[in-house]
Amino acid sequence: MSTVASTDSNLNTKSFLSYFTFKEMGWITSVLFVVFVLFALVALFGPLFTVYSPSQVFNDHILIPPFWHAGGSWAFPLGTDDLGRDLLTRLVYGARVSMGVGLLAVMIALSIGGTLGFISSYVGGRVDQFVMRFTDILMSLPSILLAIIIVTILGSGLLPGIIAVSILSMPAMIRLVRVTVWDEKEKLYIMASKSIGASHSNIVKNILMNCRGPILIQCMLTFSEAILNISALGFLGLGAQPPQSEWGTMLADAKDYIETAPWLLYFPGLCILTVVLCFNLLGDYLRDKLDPRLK
Amino acid sequence: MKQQSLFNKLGSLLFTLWLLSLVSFFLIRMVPGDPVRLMVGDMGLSEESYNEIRQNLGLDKPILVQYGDYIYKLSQFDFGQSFVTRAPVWNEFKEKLVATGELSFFAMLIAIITGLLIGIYAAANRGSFIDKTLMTGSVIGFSMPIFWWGLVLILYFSVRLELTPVSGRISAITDIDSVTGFMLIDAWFSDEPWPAFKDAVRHLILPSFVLATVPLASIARMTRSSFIDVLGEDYIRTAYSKGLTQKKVYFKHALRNALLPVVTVIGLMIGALLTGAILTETIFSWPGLGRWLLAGVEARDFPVIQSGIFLIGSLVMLLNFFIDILYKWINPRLRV
Repeated sequence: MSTVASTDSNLNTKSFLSYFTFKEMGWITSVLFVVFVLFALVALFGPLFTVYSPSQVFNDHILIPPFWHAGGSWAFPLGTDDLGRDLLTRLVYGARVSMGVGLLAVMIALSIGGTLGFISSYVGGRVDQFVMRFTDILMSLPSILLAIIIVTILGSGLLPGIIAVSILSMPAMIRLVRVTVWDEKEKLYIMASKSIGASHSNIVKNILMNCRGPILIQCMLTFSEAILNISALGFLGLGAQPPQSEWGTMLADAKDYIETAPWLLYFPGLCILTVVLCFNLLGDYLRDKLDPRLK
Repeated sequence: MKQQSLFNKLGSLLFTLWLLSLVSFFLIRMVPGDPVRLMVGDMGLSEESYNEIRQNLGLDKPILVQYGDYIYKLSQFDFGQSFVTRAPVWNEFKEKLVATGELSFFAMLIAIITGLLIGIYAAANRGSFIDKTLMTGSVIGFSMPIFWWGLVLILYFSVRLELTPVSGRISAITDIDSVTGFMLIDAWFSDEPWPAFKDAVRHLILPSFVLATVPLASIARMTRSSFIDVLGEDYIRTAYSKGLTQKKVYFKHALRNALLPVVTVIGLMIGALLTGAILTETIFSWPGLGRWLLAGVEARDFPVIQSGIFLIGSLVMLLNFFIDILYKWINPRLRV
């Protein structure tokens, strides 16, 4: 039974992209997908269309509310902050930072964590033990504390923040890859290919092909978690440094004005929430598609 | 068989603790900045007294000797003294742990009770409008940046509606002796138990709700999917065919089996809970572990950081260890 199933999935070379057609997704997931693509487009091309620069200060336009409030104007659609910088422009540049960090964190976690997890389960024995104890430690520490220490060692800034965030997402990635690969390598078809003398590279390729679903979902989780973590670091004043516009840093600035200028609080937070939410829901959707039993 | 596996587990726990001590000791020493210079601040310091202070703090010894000292002291449950306050780290840790513990305990209480109820209710009405609303809500909760969520709630409940205080554990005018460290309990021993208690609750409610948000959402989701799995089992059909009421089937037969994956999730959540606690404490100026450690990192207070990290790490590991045992207790199949 399991052999049949695994050979089937072995032959299944259907691209993941084919799950992301409007017909397949239904309207709710489609909306999420479109929203996410919009955010990605804004992150990529938005800065080309902004009128102001994110650090441009308008001294006589401090704390202007969004245009639908009395006193707001179309010149600053979402208002200005305490230094008179245009909020919309800063949000657009912030999208670039958040999405970029998310992407980088996924790449680092996948290349280092994924490899470690794979080696751990493929080699087994002492190597596996060591890697597992290592992830135990990373997981036993509150992640933000670890991030804070890493950032203090490397000095505050966006790059140390990215490194910290990637290290944080490492243990989950290592564990997931290890478990998935472990399940896969015990399957009959792998034993069969071993017994006919297939090369390691061939076996590794087969295992990876059949594990890509769960790994992709983990990457999506890593992405949304990285966005949350980098903004949390920014909020604590340890991530991106002031002139740079990043959603978490913007929230830290907004903290002192929640009563007088609540729009400074709403928009950056809503941006973080929306991106993370879209990605989590798309991850859920993909999981349901790949493993319908979980629904 | 059982004895040996427990023994093995303890062995690997000890090994992990040792690795943890290594990490916590060397990590903080990699942070640039000299604790003595930071302590003194901008006031100048003669070379002589600088060396004397370093000697007093034991910082002049070779690093491996320092590590040896640290391990030797750890083995006697001596966690050193803070460079800054000169108080034993253990005493400070206890005090802060209780504050964070109170916050986390109520957050977990809210999360577990509400999460289970929501999950069961959604599973019972699977596919309905209510189910979809609850589950959408839980994904939103799961994706919530809690530092923002905390600020939004402060804006509405504290600033606009003035229902709850903005920060701290108790109002400054209330005079309370620290008996247990739990503000809610200590309040009962003060001169005016009832107003003090109410005040403590009003301080506690918003931060614990903020901290509960993410765990609540994941518990609700996990409970729902595990409940749906269990409801499809044969013994549930048998229970119904015996003529039991739905309530009995749900809470006597289904719940215990559905709880298994939920307990695992709760165990994995403890580390994340502390992360949330650090952020929540920052927003609400709650005098707990998070703020203590942040201040320690800033002052390069080596003993506070190395022992603090070690203690928190061991605490999380021990809790996970007990949850493992609890898991076996709930699931008799694993008890062999």
